[in-house]
Parts: sequence; C-alpha cells; structure tokens
Amino acid sequence: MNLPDAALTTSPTTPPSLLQRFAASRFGQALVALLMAAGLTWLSFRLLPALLRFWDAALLHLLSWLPLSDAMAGRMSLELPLWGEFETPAIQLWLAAADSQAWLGNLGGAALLFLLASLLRPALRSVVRALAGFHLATLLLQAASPLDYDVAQHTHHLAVISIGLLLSLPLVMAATHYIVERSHERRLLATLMIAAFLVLSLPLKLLAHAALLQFMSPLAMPTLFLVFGPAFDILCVSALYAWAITWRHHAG
Amino acid sequence: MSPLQAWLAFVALCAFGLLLPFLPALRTLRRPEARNPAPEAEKDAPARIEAFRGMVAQQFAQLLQVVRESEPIQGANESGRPFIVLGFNKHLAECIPPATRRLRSLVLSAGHLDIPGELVCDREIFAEGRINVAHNAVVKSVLSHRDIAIGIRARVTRWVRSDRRLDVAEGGSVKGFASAGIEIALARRTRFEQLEAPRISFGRQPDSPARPALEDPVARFDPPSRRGEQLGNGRNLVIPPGHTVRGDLIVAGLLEIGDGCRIFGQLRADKGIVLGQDVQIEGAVYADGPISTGANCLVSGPLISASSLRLGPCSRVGKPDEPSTLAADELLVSEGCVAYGTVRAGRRGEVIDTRISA
Amino acid sequence: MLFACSTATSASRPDPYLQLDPYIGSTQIARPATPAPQGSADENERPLNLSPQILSTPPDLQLTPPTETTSPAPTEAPAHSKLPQSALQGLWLLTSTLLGLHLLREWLRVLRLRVLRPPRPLALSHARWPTISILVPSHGKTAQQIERLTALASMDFDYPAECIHFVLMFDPAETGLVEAVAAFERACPGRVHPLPMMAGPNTTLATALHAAVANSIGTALVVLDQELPLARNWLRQSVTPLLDPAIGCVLTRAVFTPQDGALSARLDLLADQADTLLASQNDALNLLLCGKARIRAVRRQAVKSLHAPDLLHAPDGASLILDLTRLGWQSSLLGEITRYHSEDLLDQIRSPRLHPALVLQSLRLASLLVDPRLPAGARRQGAAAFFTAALPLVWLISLACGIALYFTGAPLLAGLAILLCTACSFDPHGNPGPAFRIAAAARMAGVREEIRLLPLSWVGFAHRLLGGIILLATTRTPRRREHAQPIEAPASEGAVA
Repeated sequence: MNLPDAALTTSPTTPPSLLQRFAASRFGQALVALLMAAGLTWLSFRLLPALLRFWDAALLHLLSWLPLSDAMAGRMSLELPLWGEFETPAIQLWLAAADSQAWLGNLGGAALLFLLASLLRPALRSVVRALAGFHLATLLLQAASPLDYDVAQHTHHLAVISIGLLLSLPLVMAATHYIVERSHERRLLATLMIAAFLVLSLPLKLLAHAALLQFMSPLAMPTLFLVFGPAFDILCVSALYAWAITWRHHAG
Repeated sequence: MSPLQAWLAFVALCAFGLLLPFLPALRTLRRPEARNPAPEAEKDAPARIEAFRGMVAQQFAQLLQVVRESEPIQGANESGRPFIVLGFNKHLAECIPPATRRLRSLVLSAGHLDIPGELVCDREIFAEGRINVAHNAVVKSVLSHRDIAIGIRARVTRWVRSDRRLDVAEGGSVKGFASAGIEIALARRTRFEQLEAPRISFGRQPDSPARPALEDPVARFDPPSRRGEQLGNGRNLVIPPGHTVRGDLIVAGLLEIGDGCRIFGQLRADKGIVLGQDVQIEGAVYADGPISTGANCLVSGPLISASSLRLGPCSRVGKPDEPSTLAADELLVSEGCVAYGTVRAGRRGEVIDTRISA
Repeated sequence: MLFACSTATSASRPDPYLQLDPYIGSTQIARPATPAPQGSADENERPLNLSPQILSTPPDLQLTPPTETTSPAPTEAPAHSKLPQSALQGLWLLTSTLLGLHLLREWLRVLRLRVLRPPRPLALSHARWPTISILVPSHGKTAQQIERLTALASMDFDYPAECIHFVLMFDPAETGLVEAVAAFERACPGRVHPLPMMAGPNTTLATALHAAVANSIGTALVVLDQELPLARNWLRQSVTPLLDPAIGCVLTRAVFTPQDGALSARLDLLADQADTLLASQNDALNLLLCGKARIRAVRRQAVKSLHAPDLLHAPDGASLILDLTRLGWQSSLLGEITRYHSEDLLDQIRSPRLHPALVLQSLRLASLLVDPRLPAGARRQGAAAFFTAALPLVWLISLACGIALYFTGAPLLAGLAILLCTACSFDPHGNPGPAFRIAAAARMAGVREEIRLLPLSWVGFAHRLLGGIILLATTRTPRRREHAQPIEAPASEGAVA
C-alpha cells in the first residue's frame, strides 16, 4: 500500500539559501524597494530628453490637428541652481486683453454656476459653490491688479509642476505604496502606470488649458492654474494610487 | 476633418483622460454598499475549524462508513489533493513507507489515530476517535471527536480542536488556536498562543484544594496621603497587605496590591500592576505595562496586559461558571494555575517550569 | 526638486520670476515679428520668421498681432512690494513646514504600523460587563420627555440589566414628568438616580454634566443627548471598546452627516477604519480628538490634580465619560428627529475637528502644555489635541499663501503650496490627512474596495472644511453662565443613596 509520489516526500526539502533568506527578510525587502525607487528615478531622469521630444511631437501633432488659432508649441526653460536649464514644453497663444464681454461672461458664468449648484447634492454642492466663489474672487482680484502672465508662462508652470511630480514619483511611491504592497511586480506596475498617465496627459492638459483660456479669456487663468493645475495632478495620481493599492494578490 | 469634428474629438479625448483615473472609484461607487466580509475576517481559526468539519461531513462521511471494516483508502479529491482514509485498528505507519518524513495527504480515520513520531504532516488530520501525536511530530491542524494527546516536543502549527480533552505533553507546542470541549491540560515547558476551553490547567496541579472564599468582608482602606513618605510623585499607588477595597483603582503609574488583599472592582494602571500572594480580585485587571501576580491569586474578571504577564503558582483566573480571559503579549504561567475561558498570548506563551525558575 | 524650485524663485527676486524677457533670451519661443500674409496656400510650408526651435503652427492671421507693450521690460520691483512678498514667502514656508511635519508624522506612524504589525484586537468574549450610567437629559417638550422615559424603561437591552443605571434629568416643576420619573423608579428599582434641575436658559447638558457625574455610578457615563431611537444591542456595542486595554477611552465619532447619500457614509467608514487602526497604537493621538469627552476628561483630571491632589487616585463616580451619538443608533428610524437645532450646537457632543467652538476649546488646551504640575500624560494629550485642532488652520493659511503668492508673481511657489495642500486633503472628516495614511490603514484593516473611493473623499473634505468655516463665521458663542446646581429634592435622596 504505497501512496502516489505526490503525496509523499521521502527526501527532506532543501533549505533556502542565504540570498533567498535575505531577500525574504524585512530588511531585504526594504532594500529592494529602495533600489527599485532609485533605479526608476535614474531612469526617469535619463528619459527626460526623450520625453521632451515626445511632448514636442505630440503638441505639434495635436496643434496641427486642432484649429486652435495662433498657437505655437515650443520649449521654455527655467534656471535652477543645482540643475541648470530645466526645459519644459509650453504653448504660446496670443490672446487679446479681456474686454467687457469677457468680464461679463466670466462673472455671469460664475454666478450661474453658483446658482446651479443648488441642484446638486450637499457635499458636491458646496464644492461647486466654492469653485464659483473662488472664480468670482479671482475676478475681483484681477480687477484690482491685473496679472501679467501669458499663456506660455501658464502652460510652462503647469509643465514644471507635472514634470517635477513625474521625476519625484518613484520616491513618492516608495514612501507611500511600496510600504503597503509587497509584490515587486505590482510596485513596478503601479509606478509605471502613474508615470505613463502623467506623460500622456501632459500635452493634453496643456492644450486643454490653452483652449480653455482662448474660450474663457485670460481672466480664467488663476482659476485654471490654482484649481485645475497641480491640485488636479495630485487628485489623478491619488486616484490611480488608490486603485493600485487595492489590487489583490489572488485573482478574484 | 472639419474644425467642429476636431474640437469634438479633442473634447472627447480630454474627457477620457480626465475620467480615466477615476474609473475605479466610480465603478466602486456604483456597487451596492453591502459587500462580503473582508477576507481577513474569514480567517478566524474557529471558522476554519467549522469549515473543515463541514468539509469532512460533506465529502468523507460515506467514505468513513465504508472504510470501517475494510482496507484503507487512498485517493485524491476534486481539487487533486491526496487523502488517506483509515478504518478501525489500522495504523497510519503501515500505510506509508518507513523512511517518510513528510506527509502531504489529508488523513482521516474512523477510529483512533496514531501519528508516528518525527513525521511532518502538511495537511489536516481528522479522527472520530482519539488522536495521539507522537514525540517530535509536526502537524498542521488536528480535529477529533474525542481526546487528543500531543506528545513530547510535538508541535501543532495551525489549530487543534478536541471535542473532549486536549493534553499537551512536556515541551510540546501549540501554535495558533487550540480549543477543547471539556479541558485543556498543558504540561510544563509547553508553549501556546490561543487556548479556549471551559477549564485550562497549566502544569502539575496542587494536591490541596483551593482555599475557601471568605464571606463578604467590610471594606477597609485608608488612602495614603500624596505627600507621604512612601509615595513620591503621586502616580503610583500601594495598597498595604490585608486590606479590602470596594471600588475601581485607576492609576497612572504602578499599582501594587499587598498580600492577602481583596478588591471588589476594576484595576487599571498605565505602568504596571504587582499583586502579592493570596490576592483576590472580583473584577477586571488591565495594565499597559507588565503584570505579575504572586502565588494563590484569584482574579474573577479578565486579566489583561499589553506587554507581559507572569502568573504566580496555583493562581486562578475566572470561575467555572464565569469564564474569563487571560491575555498578554508575553504570557508566562506557573505550574498549578487554572484559567477558565480564554487564554491568549500574542508573542510568547509558556508554562514555566517552577522547579527551574525557583 | 521642490527645494530647487523655491530657491530658484527666491533667487530671482526682486525680478518677477519669469519675465517675458525670456522670449528674447533664455526661452525659445519667439513671438511673430510681423503678421504673415493672409491666405497662404500651404501654411505648413510657409517660411517662418521665428526662432528655429519653434515647432508648430503659424499664427492665425485673422487675430490681431500682439502688441509690443504686453511684454514689459524686467524692472527692479519696488521696495514696498518686496516686503509683503517676503512675508508671504516666510508664512508659506512656515505653514508648509508644519504640513510637511504632519505628513512625516503620519508616514512614520504608517511605517511603524506596517513594521510592528500589531496583533488583532482581542475578542473578550468572557469579559464582565462594567456598570454604566445613562444620563437622560431633558430635551424637548414634556410629552416628548415622558414618552422617552417610557420607551427607555421598557427597553430590552442585551446588556446585564443590573449593570445599567439611569440618571434622569428633569424639571421638578412639571408634574407629569415627576410622575413619569417615579414610574421609571418603580420599573427599575435601585437603578434610577433622579437629577432634578429647574428648566431655564442656563440649564443645559453641559451645565448639568457635573451634577450628573456626581450622581452617576459605574465605569462610564453615557450621555443620551439626542432624541434617537435605540437599537437593542447598542449598549453592548458601545461599551465593548472600553474593554480593549489598548484603548484607554474610546469615544464614538459624532459626525455631522447631512442627507447626502451613501458616499459620505462609506467614506466615513473608510476614515473610521484608518483612525481606529492608527489609534490602537500606544499614542492614540487622533483618538483624543474623537470626542469632546476626552478633552473634558483631561481637563477634569487637570482641575482635579490642581484643586484636590489627594483625590487623584480616588475612584470617582464616573471614571470615563462615554459620549454616544452615532454608534448603534438606527438612522432609518430617525424620521423627524434628525432635525438640526441650531441652539443645540453648544451641547451637542461632536468631533471638535468639525465643530469650530470645540476646535477653539481644544486650542485652549495649549495651556496644559506648559503646566509643570500636570502629569506628563495630560501634557502630552493636551499637546496632541492642540496640534490636531490647529491643523485645519495651518492648512487654510498655507492655501491662502499659495493663492496670494500666485497673485504677487510667484506661480511656482503657489503651485507647490497647492500641491502640498491637496496632498493633505483626503480625510473625509475635514481634518487634513494624506491619502496614503487612510489607504494603508484601511487596507490593513481589511477594507479594500472602499479605498478606491479615496479620490472622491476630497469632496467630503472640502465640504466639511467649508461647513466648519461657515459655522465659525455664523455662530455667536453666548456668554458663559454659572453652572446650574441640582435642586436638593427630598424625593431623590433615597434613590441616589
């Protein structure tokens, strides 16, 4: 009466090697996570010139496709003390100064938004009202002291923040995601997914901002930058992070 | 492509990019709120035991009937896991090669079951009769309708459940959850984590019965003055020997109860609690720091420490008709102690060999 | 990177950080010098008069060409505009540092939680239930109060009946109410402690609490401060956390939930998990702010240690005050009772992070920090309460600094400020909290699907914060009056004894 071989093992199992035990230990895990974050950071810095070329090409393509009047894509640079020239893509758009129609349109739009917010549910209502109120407040501030940003600067600042977020993403993920997720593949996948989103959405975002500015006049610039700029980046990154952190280890 | 179409396509692209990160959130939001319990919550040992019991009743009840008077049956279930079903008076050692050190089969027996020494069993074990786990064996999970005896230096790694009585011999180890329908008896130098039984005895029990409880005495306690010589900063509290206190004692520092005191109320201390000998407490004892008790203490309520707890010889926790809880991160129980209800050790639980520690 | 940006911005002062001057020098976008002739056949092949790096489309010639005056030459900023900007930058730096420290502390707590992996909470199946007192305040009309007492007397809790004592607050001038209290005493002999207090503007729950604590017996005083129906098991559910030795005092969170559907409830669930899990650590800092009662307990302990140091260890009537407003109350049965009394604000037991008056009250706890006579634990609790209460203020100042910096010509710093503020705005209860803390703790607690709702939680955050600000702006705190004293009624003496 002998059982099939699958049921019995007469030879003792081989003990794990020292390297395996180190990799499975807590310290080894942390070390691997740190190495991964450092490697990804190095990679993103190395890929930055190629990414800039990609963004240029994407903007060029989109602008040739989109009937956005008087728009030019190019690069602007920022002098950083430890870095030197920090180049980012930007879009220049020649916009006339806001006339009375634009003022009326913006004021009316904000007031309408404020009133229409009462149709929404309470939590969303107060947020939309806050947005309308914020836009009204920025209009008042601009009436008191006009801003001297143009669209190129606006898009350049947006791109600086987004690229900064992209470059610091591996470290941020190492601090927030790698300490929860133990699978190296999932760590890598989550970081690459968020990075890919940032890379792909940057030209779209710049162009959408330029189009909105053309549509709403430069009066909307503060609202667009302060509400739909870096804050929106963080929200998107958090949304993807929250999704990545819920991935299960076993299917189903 | 006309300008309008280009704009529409661009707006659609932007909307897609805008919504893409929020799709999982919106999808979760659309789901009904009532959801299945978290998978972590399903992993309770009692639930696993019941699941195993149900699996045995469902899948192996007929097989156990068939095998009673016949030869053992081996095979694999639907998911391809091998099993061995033994009848009466059949020994597991006869069914496996002599040199086997690791057994990857489910083992079920219609009668008594003996697990040979030095064997490592990777799957659950079930017997309708008594189960003897011989010395140095390692078993994962054991379920019996009758008694279970864990031999010298044998180990249980997940759970063990006896519907009657569980005995763990000297040096044995019960990692995980152990429960018994009547009693769990642990010999000296055994290690444990979670125990649950109407009566749990640790080590050799004293010959003399427990002392009779005193009748309702009159409270007598003079609170020491804060500026007194024995109390420094006012955070610690010392109850001198022989006092009776009615009320809760809540102390920010160390709480010391002298020998022979009786407390009707809860004890709670941030730093630690030291109970003398023959202390009786009708209430719960909680401390964030260590708790140590002298010999012959009686605690009727839960006795819980967030760090370590050392129970003196011949102490009692709970009563037969009022089960209680004994819990600590590091739990050292002297011989002769008895607990009624639940015992939980977070990191380390051990029955101390009083001969050595003395 | 952030540091570099800020350095770059501050280094270029007093020039506005990015002038249009770069169009000539450092940047490579050039503006069209002259409008190109209209109606060119192939626009892409048209020769450009632009700089060679220009990538894309030519200007639309229908538009008016930009005027040269739109690009002002870089000039030295006047000295009077430098000062407010420097002050703004300093303020932004301070608030950002505080927010960064908050992020760091939360991160360290999550890390410690991950590394230490605390054992699962003990299931105290055999714990002996503590004796508790239920304070029934006199809210509403006489008929309502009588109805409430009748319902409470006939309530069949799954808690040992001998362990429940009632402290009934009532107006002795109302004869119907006195009879109802007497009937209650007959129904629960020996477990009713009447608390007669003359009704009046200065008889509120807060003023009656001292007398109620003196009248109560047992481990906890449970305050029924809202007219809500009770579930049968709410007492057991609520008292169970008290038995957890890791949490000295657990207070259920009282959250102002308007009728905005299931989302906020689910987000609350998420944040509750996070708070509970993090609070089961040794320093239950967040837990301290879960209710007013903890602050009250700290203050009570402080007052006691100052005025009666000998009584510090004497067990008083109620060792803990447990406020229950939400747990175990069935919201489906609320009906007309969920109305929101504006005059009840001061007495409602709710989280100070939501209620501005309580935030201010906990800010006052800063005085506990420096009092050497207090035990270290009380000082630490005071500090934690103070800093947690001050966080929304820090967040708001940082945001305001970011907006102001944008308007004063430092958009990158503004972007950084917005970035940091947004990163701290994921606690749906309105207290600045990072996303990773809630996500990590909820995942460890076994809540997985709900974490995906996290990006929506900033809606709740903004809603609560705005609600708090509006409440703070519109609430006028009435002048504090003397504490009302209970009337020494001969009828109540026997019951109390």
